[in-house]
Amino acid sequence: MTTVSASHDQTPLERELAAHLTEAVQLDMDPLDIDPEMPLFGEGLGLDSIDVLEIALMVNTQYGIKLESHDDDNRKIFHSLRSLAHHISTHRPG
Amino acid sequence: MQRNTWLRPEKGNSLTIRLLIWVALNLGYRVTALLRWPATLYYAAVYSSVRRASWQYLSHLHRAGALRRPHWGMVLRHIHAYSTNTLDRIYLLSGRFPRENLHITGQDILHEALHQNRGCIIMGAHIGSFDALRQCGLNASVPFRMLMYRRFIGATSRFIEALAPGFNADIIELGQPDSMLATLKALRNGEFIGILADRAHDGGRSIPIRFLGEEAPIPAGPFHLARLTGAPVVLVSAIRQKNGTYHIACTGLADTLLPETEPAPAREALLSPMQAYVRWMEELCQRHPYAWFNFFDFWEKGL
Repeated sequence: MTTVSASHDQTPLERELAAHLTEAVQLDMDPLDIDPEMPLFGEGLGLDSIDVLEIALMVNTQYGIKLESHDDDNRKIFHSLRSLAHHISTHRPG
Repeated sequence: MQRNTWLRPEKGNSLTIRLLIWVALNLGYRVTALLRWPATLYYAAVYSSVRRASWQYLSHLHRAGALRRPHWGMVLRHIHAYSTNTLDRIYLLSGRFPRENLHITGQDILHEALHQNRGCIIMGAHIGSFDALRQCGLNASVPFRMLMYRRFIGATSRFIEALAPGFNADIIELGQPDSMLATLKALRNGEFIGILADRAHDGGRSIPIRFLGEEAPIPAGPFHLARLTGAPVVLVSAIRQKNGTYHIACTGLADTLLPETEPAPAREALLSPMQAYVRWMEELCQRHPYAWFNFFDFWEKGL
């Protein structure tokens, strides 16, 4: 498992986020196997907008960041594990 | 067998629907109403899938003991009810349907739901007229937005919906990454969100539930949404009466009207409200057999 995941090069925050994410949407895969650049929605990980809502609520609980407004940004923020992690790291309170 | 057979452009072409709209708006209801039988016969003759879907539904209703043995006259009556529904849509969406012909009962439950400050999900089905309901929603003090799947919209809906100013502005489109985030935002703002919850567009999220004696794939997405947002759900039907008026009936969906702080965990928690929803659909179909407007292989067992 770890040999595969090493190629994906997740940062520590991405690794943590991937674990929360797979749990939130009950994704049947090893969080370390998520390619940080892969689109979350549709073709990539195959998530739908209900999953995106689950992730937004998870991010709110885990990181204290509200993600329901700013409609135009959401598609960029939720594009991939990496873009979401980037958003969290720059918007984390404290 | 093809899955999700409704995910194809609707029947009807732009020329006939534009002609119908012109006749409806210029020659009045009585004249336009005369066109329903020719339209019905045309549809029945040309679209065998519509005939077969109607037959399949009427047979289910018969086996459930709610209707006598189907014959082709009943199929025609069923398609005729749909053409009446389409005709009424033109008047409803263009704002020419008399308000006094819309009667609403049970609306207290809507006020009750809104008092919880979590918005309110108005859940319907393709039974009767959702436009009649929408007409009432537009007159409420709270914004009313529809969650809709738009990708496969056909000429009929496109031209009829163009009659309503601001129709598209009030829609949250399904199938976008942020569809549910926009919905959450609207609910948090205390708005009404309308969903017709009987058609699945994502097979992965539908759960087979017994409907009129046989399991049919019922979308779980709307119930997930209710669970995740904590928004109360009110079931609403708008059924045409014999005299041409509409009776709009509101009833709370069990379990969702209780304020809950912790959302229940998983799939099992969805089953009970989904079954309640399907029971509600069954009762409507039994009382109004011809108001069912899902002319496709609803049970996905083949037509």
